[in-house]
Amino acid sequence: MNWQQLRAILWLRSRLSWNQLRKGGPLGFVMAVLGVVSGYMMALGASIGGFLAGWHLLGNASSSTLLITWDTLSFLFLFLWLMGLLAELQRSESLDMGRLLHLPIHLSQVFLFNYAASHLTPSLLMAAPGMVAIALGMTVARGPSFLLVIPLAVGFLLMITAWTYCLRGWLAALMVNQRRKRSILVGVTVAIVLLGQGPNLYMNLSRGGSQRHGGPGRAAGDFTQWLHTPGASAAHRYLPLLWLGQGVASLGEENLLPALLGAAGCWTLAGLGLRRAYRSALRFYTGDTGAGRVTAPPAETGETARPASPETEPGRTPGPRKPLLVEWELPWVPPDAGGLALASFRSMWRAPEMKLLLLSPLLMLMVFCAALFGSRTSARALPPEFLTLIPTALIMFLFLGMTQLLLNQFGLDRNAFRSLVLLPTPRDRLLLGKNLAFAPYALVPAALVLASLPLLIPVPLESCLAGLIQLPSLYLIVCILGNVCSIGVPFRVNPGSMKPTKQSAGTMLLLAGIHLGFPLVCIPIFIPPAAELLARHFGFPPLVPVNLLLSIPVLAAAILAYRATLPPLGRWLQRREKEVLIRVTHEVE
Amino acid sequence: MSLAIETTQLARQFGNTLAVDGLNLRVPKGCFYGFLGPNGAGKSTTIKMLTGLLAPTGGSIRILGGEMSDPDVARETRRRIGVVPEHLGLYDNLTAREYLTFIGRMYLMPRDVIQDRTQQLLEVMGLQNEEKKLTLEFSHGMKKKLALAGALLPNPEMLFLDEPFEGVDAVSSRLLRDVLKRCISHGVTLFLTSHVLEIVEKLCTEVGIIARGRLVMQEPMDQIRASGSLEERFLSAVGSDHLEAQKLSWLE
Ligand SMILES: Nc1ncnc2c1ncn2[C@@H]1O[C@H](COP(=O)(O)OP(=O)(O)O)[C@@H](O)[C@H]1O
Ligand SMILES: [Mg+2]
Repeated sequence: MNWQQLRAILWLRSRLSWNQLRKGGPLGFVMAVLGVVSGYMMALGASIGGFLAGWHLLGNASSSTLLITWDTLSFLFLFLWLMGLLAELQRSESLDMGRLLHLPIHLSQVFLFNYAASHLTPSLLMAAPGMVAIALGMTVARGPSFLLVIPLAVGFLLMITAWTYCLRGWLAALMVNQRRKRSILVGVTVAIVLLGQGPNLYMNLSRGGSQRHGGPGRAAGDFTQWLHTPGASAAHRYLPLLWLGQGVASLGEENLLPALLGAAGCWTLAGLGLRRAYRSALRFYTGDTGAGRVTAPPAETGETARPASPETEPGRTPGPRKPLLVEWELPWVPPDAGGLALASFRSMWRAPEMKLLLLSPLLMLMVFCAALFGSRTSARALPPEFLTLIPTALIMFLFLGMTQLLLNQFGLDRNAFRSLVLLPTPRDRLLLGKNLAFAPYALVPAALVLASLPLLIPVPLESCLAGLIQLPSLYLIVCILGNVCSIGVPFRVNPGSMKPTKQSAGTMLLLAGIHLGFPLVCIPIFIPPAAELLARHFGFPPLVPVNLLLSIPVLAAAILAYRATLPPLGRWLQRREKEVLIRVTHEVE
Repeated sequence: MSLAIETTQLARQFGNTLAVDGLNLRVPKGCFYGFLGPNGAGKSTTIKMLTGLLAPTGGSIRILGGEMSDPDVARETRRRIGVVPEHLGLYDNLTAREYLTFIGRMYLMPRDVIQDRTQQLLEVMGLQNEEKKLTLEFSHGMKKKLALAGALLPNPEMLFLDEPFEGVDAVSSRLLRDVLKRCISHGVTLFLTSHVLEIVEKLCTEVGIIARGRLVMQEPMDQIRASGSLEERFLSAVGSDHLEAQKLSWLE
């Protein structure tokens, strides 16, 4: 460790933060201060609460209670941690090692600093002080042997953060210029979602609706029973994620060895993970991403395919070439709007973040069905009014997941927005093209979900059909809102993720408000099902499909509203395009 | 002689700094205008304002006779100009052919014309064998060439190029020069910024020099050649200090 260099690193980081803060304006400053203060409060609250809980609640708890408590704590933390990870999968380094590579600095210091900075997340700010405080509380109540919980718990947390750090580095390496590999990112995200939702899904699906009346108490009972099986004790011995619970429980039986072994194991695993992460980080920044070795087979096939094409190319006239997607003519759409729609669609199709977006409705459907119903039988118990509303509500939720993109359509273009500004195309056509480009992403998965809904839960078929009409209606309405926001409050997003950068505090608050108010925008599509419920209430003949019939005029109204707003919004975009360009590109950093 | 570019007191302020300060450019039609200046002089800022990527904080611009402060006129004028901006504006996730096709469609060109010109441009720029690559995977020089191809595709009357030779290898640079000469011989007006004097000296017919946001010289190349080399004129106009380098005495 070189103290002078470490100080230089710390100074650099604080300087960077300070410059960022200064650029953010007074509102940004206030929010940053609030963030720091709430972080402290969370840590403080977790410490006090943890200490009291450890002292009083766990003061003379049985060893199996200790096991359940600490297993639950472990999993709770793991769950929160994974959720946080989802928000930002790619490694975002506190200090970019790539820029320091040429300096005579110990890179391991920078690496350790970045690793340490990666701990500044809400879940860890609560978990680390909380767990240590519980351990102290138990020490006060039960004796000094419980001090061992501290290294055990810290080792457990470090083990998890070290290996996630490693995973994120690995993902970062995959993201470098290997577009096919980028789809792995999607796979990993899905895996994490399933991991988080897995137990929930399993619980819901495995137990029938009749057993659900047992509630959480019953689930806890099941869990306690499981703990006494031989499988459970083996799991606690061999699964590192359970070592924390196992160690604390054995301390309760005054057996120090498992806790000592667990702590040693956790620390060792943490060290191994960190070493791996450091090595892969070095390889990453020196350009040796392992692409030559690990991905050799796919690269090879790509190469063999490529030399073949230049041979056939010189003699080939442009004629017989298969038409590109961007060459297609879209019916009823002006050719320039169609061109932009196809080019944007193509470009987004290859962006990994779009694949995530496409998968998320399907995941949501699973989670939604599992959480709400568990099984068909329990859904039958629901009032039929509720079922009528479900397709419409589902549409609203599906679009809610897409607002990030729809409300910031030029943010995803980044530099490419510059070429849009340079075009002579009327601006309302640009908006139309953009809206069309998003339409397949918004509509197709949602339509699939709606179509498969009757197979999963007993919703009336008529509501689903009506939903298929409400879907384009809401899309048009959201497009109007999206166009307004895309022009009015655009912001830059990082490539490969949906994370906003360069977002001023004012924009952030405004957008948060818009997201909160999103259900208001959805009111029009709730009119038909609400009318249907009213009609049923007043004894309207049940054979008249009110919901379906009313959805049609709503769609017509949405089309008219969209067409009416397009020209004025186009003129607004024309006036504001230079400002939008500055907001969505890198120029001022 | 009609003017392709005419600005009056053009200015742009960033915070407290005046990046461009009262610029009065006169660029005749059909000329090859070299816009020179040291780093940070305001060249890119000027070209962004001329092409409508950045709003001026003062003054006015006329391009090919059109008043650029009127958004509709500015948009229509863009039909007649091609631009290679400082930070290019390519779609990362499109291939070169897809990008050019897209540009062609946005200019409402007929499909077979787009296909012919795209093929020719890809061949001339040496990009025809990169069909599978996304522009994301292009090198900096390849991106520049693709952006230039996109600017040439609609056959514009006027081209704006911001540092077209920066980061381009010798072979491509030669090719670029040939393409630009072809454009000039077809009557295209060229406006090019650079900080490389040799290229400007070889190619341009008209030279403007900007330093700290102010136009310090604007002359036909012939006149400059008559009165010495471009480098001498540039250094005297910009006001450099040869003695500065001697201060680094410890640099053995
Ligand atoms: N977006 C911006 N924000 C703040 N200052 C800028 C911005 N763009 C350019 N500048 C400043 O304007 C001056 C001119 O920049 P530029 O036109 O890029 O110079 P160059 O002649 O090298 O192209 C520089 O001092 C630069 O720092
Ligand atoms: Mg520049």
